[in-house]
Amino acid sequence: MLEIWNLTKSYGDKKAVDDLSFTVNAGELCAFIGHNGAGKTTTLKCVVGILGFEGGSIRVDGVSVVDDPIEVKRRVAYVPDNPDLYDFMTGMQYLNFIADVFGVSEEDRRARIDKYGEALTLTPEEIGASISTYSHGMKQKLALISAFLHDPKLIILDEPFVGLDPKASHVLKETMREFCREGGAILFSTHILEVAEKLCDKVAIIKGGRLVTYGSMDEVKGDSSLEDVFLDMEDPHD
Amino acid sequence: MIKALFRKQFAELISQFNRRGGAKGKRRSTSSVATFLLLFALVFVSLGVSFFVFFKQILGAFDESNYEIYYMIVGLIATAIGLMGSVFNAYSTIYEAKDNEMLLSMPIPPSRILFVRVTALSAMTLLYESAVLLPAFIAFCMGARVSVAGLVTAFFLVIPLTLLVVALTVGIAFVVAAIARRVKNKRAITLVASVLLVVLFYVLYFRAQNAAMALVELGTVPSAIRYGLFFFYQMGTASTGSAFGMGVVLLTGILAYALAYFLLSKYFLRFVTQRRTVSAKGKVGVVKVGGRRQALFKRDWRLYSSSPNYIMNTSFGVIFSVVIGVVAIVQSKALLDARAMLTEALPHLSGTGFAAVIAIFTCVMNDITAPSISMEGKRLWVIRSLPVPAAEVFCAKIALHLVVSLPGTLFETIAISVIFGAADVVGAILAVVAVVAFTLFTACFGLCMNVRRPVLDWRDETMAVKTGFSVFISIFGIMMLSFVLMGLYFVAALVFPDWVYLAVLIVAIFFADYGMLHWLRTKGVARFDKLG
Repeated sequence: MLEIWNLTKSYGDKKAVDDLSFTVNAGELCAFIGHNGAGKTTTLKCVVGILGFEGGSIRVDGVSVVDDPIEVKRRVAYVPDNPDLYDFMTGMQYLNFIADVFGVSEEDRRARIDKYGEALTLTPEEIGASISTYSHGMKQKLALISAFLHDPKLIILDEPFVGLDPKASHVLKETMREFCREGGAILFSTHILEVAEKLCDKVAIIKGGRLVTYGSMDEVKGDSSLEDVFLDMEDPHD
Repeated sequence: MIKALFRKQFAELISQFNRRGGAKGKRRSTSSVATFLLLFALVFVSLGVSFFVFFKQILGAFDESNYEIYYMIVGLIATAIGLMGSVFNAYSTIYEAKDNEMLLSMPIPPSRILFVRVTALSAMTLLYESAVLLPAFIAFCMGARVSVAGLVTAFFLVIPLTLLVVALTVGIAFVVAAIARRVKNKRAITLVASVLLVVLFYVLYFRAQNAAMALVELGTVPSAIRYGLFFFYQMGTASTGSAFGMGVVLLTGILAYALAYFLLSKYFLRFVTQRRTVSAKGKVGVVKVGGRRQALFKRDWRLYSSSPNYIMNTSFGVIFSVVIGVVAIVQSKALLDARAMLTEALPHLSGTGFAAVIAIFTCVMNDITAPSISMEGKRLWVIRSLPVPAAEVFCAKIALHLVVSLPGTLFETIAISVIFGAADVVGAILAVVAVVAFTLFTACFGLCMNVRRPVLDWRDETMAVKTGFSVFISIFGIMMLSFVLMGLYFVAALVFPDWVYLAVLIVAIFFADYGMLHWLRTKGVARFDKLG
């Protein structure tokens, strides 16, 4: 589903991502872990087509993000870590906007808004309210609903659990598992290693823009915890 | 602590000019900053020159016995300009500053935060006033018999004048803030207040100009005005050496400032911290299906119509064009008399070309696309992550510009064409086509500039709408162009009928439109796709 080969992205002289390669197949839930400034958000934005890159290739469902970014975006949903949404719209207007862009039918959008709205405890009245009145958590929930709204093949989430209440976090985990069971793929970054450990099939750990380790959760962590693995990789002098 | 707060305020101001928002706040090059400042200075100087010409003209009517009238007029105009420039800033920078909560959570007395903000506001007000005061002062020095004491006195009157204007600005912002606390829809209140202020300003400004000329002709100040505009009259007498006048002006300025500051310090904390809790509960939303292009247009329309800042700073031309059209109809006889005079000197003038150049001039004040990419701000990721070609994003923004601008300018064009050039049907049609082409030109030009230089890293919408290279170049460049086109029209009218001028104009503008649209479709798209 997602193939990243030798991805290299620089900001001026600084290499934010350096020769990164890994894949996420259909049905897989992959955690993307690294310290602050390791290159996680840069990588995710390159996958979504928001950032260009100098080297390597990224393919989603066989489609190159460089050659056909629009086609890639049709198959992908993205939720950033701090979703600044259109505060001049209501939640429903925002969802209608997203659905119109993707050409989601009225029946499907109604069903999905009801389903994910209920699951993430965003009531119809709250969805009908102006986004300018939303808390951070509500914006996060609305952004997640908009991600599932058009039934993507790949979902990219940057720190999706930040700002969610415990119930919404639990529901999101369940929703992510269900999405992957039905054939979708998810790549998400997180600092909450316990969640990654329990939820994910695969994990990729990045440090200083370079992939340090990648593989199934069992392969990467072995008998220890993911936290121990991660901390062992951190140089005390970094 | 005060120094740190001032440094922060200054850094905020500077960062508007020397950071390119599109590249994660990458610093502009020195030459780019210098160019920007040079252009800013050019606009300031142009404004100053036009005021200088006006003041030089009226100064001739005065002598040593009535110079106070001159300074009274100067004070009034400087107050109007200072108020106009600062009142929109005062509300957003004092009450709606994004870092209010952060600063209040630190061990900084609110009074110090206020002091720095009000001082910064005072400095900006003085800058606006100086566009009037400096040329007035220079004109006076060049044209009048002055003493050193008189000059020094006149110079120091700037301080109480600024204090008064800041007090009025803060007072108006206070009223707006008090009302906004109690209403749900703050944006609507801000928009209504902004429109009322602008209308009031222009009504008073045009009346003041007529009143100033009447005063000049009269040579004395009637007692009604002396007491009605007591502060400004005393400012006039103070500038000619009256100690009483100086005392009144100083006392009024200081008292007004003190009162405004007192009100501000009493209510600032309450306004900032005890916001009306607006719960996130609305009516149940309706699922509505539409097309992609329609969705993009609706998005831009909602962004525009929900932002008083965006509307007020980019759509003055709409109000002007409607007003000019109405005036043309109501004052048609006066216009026909003026036309009769013009056709003596310009025998080929039919008036339809004139209608077009007037409408083109009001187009200058509609620059809706110039900040349209900047207005995406931190929300740019939404449209960039969606399967929407950049060209369609551009189309929606251009469409918004046309939808907002065209009705008023077409009404104006048709009204003036009918009155000025009633028999010239071909000319009238060509005038309409020319105005449509030029409106498209302003839309494309503003968008091209903003794609090249967006300001994305803003915390306050005012920064996106008012600052930035694209807004500046868009307004300034199109203003210069409209002057050139107007000049060319009058030259052409010596030799050619209006329809010839209009036909050439249409061809030239459509070529320019095609060129810009091509750039947007190719290089513009490539640039937009790199923003992130």
